[in-house]
Amino acid sequence: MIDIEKLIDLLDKKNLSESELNQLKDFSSDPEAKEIIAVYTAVKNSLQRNEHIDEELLGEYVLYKNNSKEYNKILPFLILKIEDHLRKCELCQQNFRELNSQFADVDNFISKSISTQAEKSYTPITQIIFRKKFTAMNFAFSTIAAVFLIYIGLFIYSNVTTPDYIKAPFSKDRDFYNTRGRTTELFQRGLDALDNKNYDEAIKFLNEDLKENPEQESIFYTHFILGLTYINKAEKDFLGLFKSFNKDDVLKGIEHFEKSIELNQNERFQNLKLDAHFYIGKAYLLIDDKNSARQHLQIVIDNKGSYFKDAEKLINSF
Amino acid sequence: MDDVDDLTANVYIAFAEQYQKIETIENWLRRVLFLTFVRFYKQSNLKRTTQLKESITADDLNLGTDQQHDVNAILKEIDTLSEEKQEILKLRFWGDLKFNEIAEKLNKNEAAVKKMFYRSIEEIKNKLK
Repeated sequence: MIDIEKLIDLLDKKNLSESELNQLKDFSSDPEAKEIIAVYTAVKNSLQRNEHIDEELLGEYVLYKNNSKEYNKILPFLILKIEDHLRKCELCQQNFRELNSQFADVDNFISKSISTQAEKSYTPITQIIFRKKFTAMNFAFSTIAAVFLIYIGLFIYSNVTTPDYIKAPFSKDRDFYNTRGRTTELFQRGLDALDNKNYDEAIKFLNEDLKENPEQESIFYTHFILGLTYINKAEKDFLGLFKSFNKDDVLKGIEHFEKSIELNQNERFQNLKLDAHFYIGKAYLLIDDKNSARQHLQIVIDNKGSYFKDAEKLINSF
Repeated sequence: MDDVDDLTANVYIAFAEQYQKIETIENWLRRVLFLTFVRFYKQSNLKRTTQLKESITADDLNLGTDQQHDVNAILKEIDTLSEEKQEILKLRFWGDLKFNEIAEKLNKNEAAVKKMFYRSIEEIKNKLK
């Protein structure tokens, strides 16, 4: 049985003495030691360039320099070393420039791919990667093939992994609130902005309504619509896939629904309290807080709110 | 078409492995596609670079190992290690840091870092069998 730790220590040492060299030679007659030596050497050669910066490390540095948040988290420990080396090494500077230019192509490709008004002038990703191997026709074909395959795969994965209550629209009837009694100018402008999916503007008008008319009896309704607006604003996806919700906005939405329940003292609008509980329940599901969701949906079911059947369905779905 | 298949497979595998941790798909895809290119670039560079060394290390000895491991295969195995083990290997080889320096940066003790380094090499060896 060989002493693996001792062997790796020797392999990892920078300067070996005469006796250490002999120890290492002794080790190398053992088949298991041979395997360790081969693997250690391969790992080292895969990651280390001795006098230069490894390309993958340089790639992480390019991500960092381009303000990507997705760089390897050990990079900050090595930045000084990298920059110090780059100042002195022409070859690594050349590698950096090459990788930086490739990142710009990738960035351009991704940005154009997800834009709703895609232009035709971006460089296909496969052209970037296989530039030296493919003809122009092959680039185009390969790009379409790769992007199509990736999209179909991601679509299937997204469909299977996203629960129905996330995939379904948050509120079904966008017009249902137009018939309610609140008529201030700011409130109506907020509704119009919400209808136009201009959520930031809707939030601005509705907050102004709260500020200017805090004492009005029907102000709870502004909180209710603000709740809906924040939840709509929270929604995000990628090319229509992987629908998810910004937690901060969802929590703000819940806060406004709660405020609307608290301020709703008008007997005529008691059902709106139960609607608010229903939306709070749904909102908690969006951020995966099933216990809180269950509590609010149960209130809707127990009090036979207008959404009690939807609430029952939802509770049974998780 | 093999390269296209490889690229597509790389994205799927990376996605399946990292799905829970992805915050913004767009940024993640940008990183995966770019680093896929970096690996192709690295492999083509490896074919033409020679490495220079000043001191005598184990590499200088003819230790009779006839096993050769493909760089890509090794990198894929490194990717399967725990995040902690990958950090240690990369700080050791990418940054050429000593174990006490790695321990300090990762807020661990030196002996624990060394143990994890040994285990990482063994783990890769076992996976390559």
